[in-house]
Amino acid sequence: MKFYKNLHNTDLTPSKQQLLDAALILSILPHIFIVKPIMVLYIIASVVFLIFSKETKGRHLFIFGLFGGIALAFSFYETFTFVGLRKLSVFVSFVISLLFVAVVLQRLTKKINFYLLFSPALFLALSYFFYNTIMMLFYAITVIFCFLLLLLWHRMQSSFMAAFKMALSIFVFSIPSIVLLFLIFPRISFETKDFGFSASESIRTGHDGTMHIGSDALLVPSKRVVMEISFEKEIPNPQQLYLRGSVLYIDKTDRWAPLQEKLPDLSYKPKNNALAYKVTLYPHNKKWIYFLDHPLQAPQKANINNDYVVTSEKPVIKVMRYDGYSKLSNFIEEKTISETKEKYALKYNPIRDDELYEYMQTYDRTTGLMGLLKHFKNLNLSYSLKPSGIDLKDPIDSFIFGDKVGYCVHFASTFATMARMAGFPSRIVTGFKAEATNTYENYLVVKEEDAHAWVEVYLESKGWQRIETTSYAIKTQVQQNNQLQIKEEIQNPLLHKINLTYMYVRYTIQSWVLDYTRSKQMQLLKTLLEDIGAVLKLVAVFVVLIVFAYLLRQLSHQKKETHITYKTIKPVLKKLKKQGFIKEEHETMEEFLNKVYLKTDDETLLKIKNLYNQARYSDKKNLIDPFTNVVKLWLQ
Amino acid sequence: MRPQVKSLLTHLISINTSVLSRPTGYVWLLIVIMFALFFQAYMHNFNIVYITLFTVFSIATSGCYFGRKNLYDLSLLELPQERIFANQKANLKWRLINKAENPSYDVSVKTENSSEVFKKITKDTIVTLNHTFKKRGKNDYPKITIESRFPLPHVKFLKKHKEEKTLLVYPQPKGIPLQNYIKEQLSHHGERSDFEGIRRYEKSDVASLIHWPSLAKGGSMMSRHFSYTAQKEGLHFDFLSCADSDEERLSQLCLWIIECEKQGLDFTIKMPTNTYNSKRESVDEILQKLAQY
Repeated sequence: MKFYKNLHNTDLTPSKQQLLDAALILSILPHIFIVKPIMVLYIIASVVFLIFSKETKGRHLFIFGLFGGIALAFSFYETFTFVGLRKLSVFVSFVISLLFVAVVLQRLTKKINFYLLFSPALFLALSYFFYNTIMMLFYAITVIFCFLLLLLWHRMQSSFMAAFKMALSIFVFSIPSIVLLFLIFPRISFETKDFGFSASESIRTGHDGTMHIGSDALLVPSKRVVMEISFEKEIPNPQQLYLRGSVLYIDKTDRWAPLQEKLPDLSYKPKNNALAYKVTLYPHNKKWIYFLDHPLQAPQKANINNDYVVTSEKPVIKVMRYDGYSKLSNFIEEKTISETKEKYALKYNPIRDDELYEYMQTYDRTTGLMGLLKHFKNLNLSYSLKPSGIDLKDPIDSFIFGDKVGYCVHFASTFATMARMAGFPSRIVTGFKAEATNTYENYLVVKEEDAHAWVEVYLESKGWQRIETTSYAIKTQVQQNNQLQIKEEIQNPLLHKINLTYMYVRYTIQSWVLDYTRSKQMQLLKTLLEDIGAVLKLVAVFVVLIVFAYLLRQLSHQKKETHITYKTIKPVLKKLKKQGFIKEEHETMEEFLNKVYLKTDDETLLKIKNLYNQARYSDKKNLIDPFTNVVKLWLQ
Repeated sequence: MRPQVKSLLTHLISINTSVLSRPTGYVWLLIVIMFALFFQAYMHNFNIVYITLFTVFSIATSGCYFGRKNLYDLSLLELPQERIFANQKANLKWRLINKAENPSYDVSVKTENSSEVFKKITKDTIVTLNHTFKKRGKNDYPKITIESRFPLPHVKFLKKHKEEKTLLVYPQPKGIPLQNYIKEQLSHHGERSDFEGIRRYEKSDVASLIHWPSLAKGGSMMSRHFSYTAQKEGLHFDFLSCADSDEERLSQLCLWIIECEKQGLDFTIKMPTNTYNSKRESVDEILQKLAQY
């Protein structure tokens, strides 16, 4: 209650220095995570000094100047060369640290100059070099609002609430203009790029181009997001959500590896009738770029080979956003297979996999691929993410003739070997198989737990047929996962939906705000030019925004008339309004009722006016009743 | 709904037309900030920076509405003024009225030479401004502007106050003091004689009338009283003979009238076409006539 009262107290207006301190604290927050610990120590020391010291003497300034110099030297000891400073990130970090020292020294003098006043804005602008995230967006907007609030609080010398209302009004009034400018301001740069800083992004692990066979070989099945995909139209059938990564031909017992030879690039494939979508791929420090199976073109600075594997020129160490065009099919046309591919796609080890080889002797080659699949099913394998008893020296035999429990890599490696033994060239494709449960509207999230491996079998003179080997498992064991979060989400669909909605909102903001580019602008313009409904929607949004801003302003500035006399006379004003007499905002009751009296000659109104004034402005409480009675009489 | 929309539009237009705006030096700072943000944003199509840029711009723009609204409901009401003499500083007073329910902030009321600043105007406030009128007679009120740099300092908002009424400025009182004039008159008409006694010294008494013996005896300061002083009650000022030019004459008469008023003496002024008598007309009426001569 006391706190609430203080918000309305006009005597508690902070000084200019206090307001500036608040602005400085707000603006340096993101830098605390960037600057070196010694610089943070320096800032803490100066804050402690400011709190406990009454005055700053010359020697104090000298000590802090010296300490600042030392902090700077230690912060940039490794890069303290002009060559180092040529790097933008180092240079900006250096400027920020220098600004810290300058601000501390100026603040210690307890004198406010222009540079000190301007420093919060500088800190904010410099923090943009390091962060390009949704958090930063909200932080920036909040800080700008706070700067406005602090400035107004200083200028109004009023209560916090009065300044807050004014700041909020100005801010809300600005929103339509901000949105409009954001949408229509010409974007000259074509693509969003960052400044080369990646302080806010963590490198995620992903496929390394091989497939390990061990029972603990699979990536930790975590909920970490690998990529996000938004489709222009509805999401395709969940059975088609295969994201192609690497293609593996060589069985190295404990792992499968790709061909050593570089495969030729894919010849041009027309994008007609292709499925279009946008992918946000989080950094995984490898070169693979994922597309729905099978992609038709690679993004810029990436290649696509004739196995439809897309690789970037450099490892993906930053968030990568690209357009995808795919032909969704479980069959890849390739009428002639190269000798190299055929050689490796038929290679198997009958000595190592002797038991499987023996089992394959019972396979009737005339039954073709269907017979092979039936033969595979007859192995009665079970699916589990926690297999046991896989011998890395004899992985296939130990899987199918041991516990018969494995997951996608074991199923894929077994079937690929079986196909080879049956005379079908085969290969393993690793990537992701997205879950239908991870979709929201036209948005799809692919997580690390969606990592998958499947087999492609070559059908002579036709092409590669995808085989989902895990679908031949006779049963799927319940996943024994020790991650509480996953368990909770599985048990609680509501939690899962909330999480997915949050991710969708985040993704929408990311793609339509942070990644808003010239192409998106053009796309929007095209939609507006072609679709009158879209124009109306946009106009409606702006009208709603403006009306909302106006209403909020009115509400925040409206002083409620609470005096009993006003409540009593209110019905009179309503009735007069119906008769065409509207009391203007700045008109006093006396002026208004006089005006009405002159036009109507209604003597009772004069009486009401006099009694209103007497009841309202005199101390006598017994005047309320006569006033109420006259009003009631007039209303009747 | 339609009348309300119309009323809102009229209100907005009215705000826009009645309150003017002028950029201040801070607008350059704003431009520099916006350019810096633009280049930072442009380099990499950096949308957070674009949003910051647009937010800064939009706040600066929408702040203008609130700046105009801050002054829109303020008005000045002229208050009765004290006597105003030419070439003398006059304290002009107005009532600054805030018709709005909300306070106005950081308001200054200015003329060319003086100003008064108010941090917050909740109710009516009296504004006092100094102004020196150069000429006697009917003068226009000085140009008054109500100014504010609220809410943001990059734009100055002005509301000009146009006072329809005029002010009557009296001639500048200057010339020979009344006492000297009386002495001079006496020397023309005869000796100092007809001594009537001594009385308590008054500030207006000339030093030559001080009765030094009374003072030397340790009593209070007294002055000698002659019968000629009684003539003062019927002082006669002649417009044509009191100075060389008309303006000097008017100033001279103005000075004497004020001194007569101070001493409670009656007087008659002979003008070329009229005669003014303090018994028939008030001092202000006579001064007004002199002002408009």
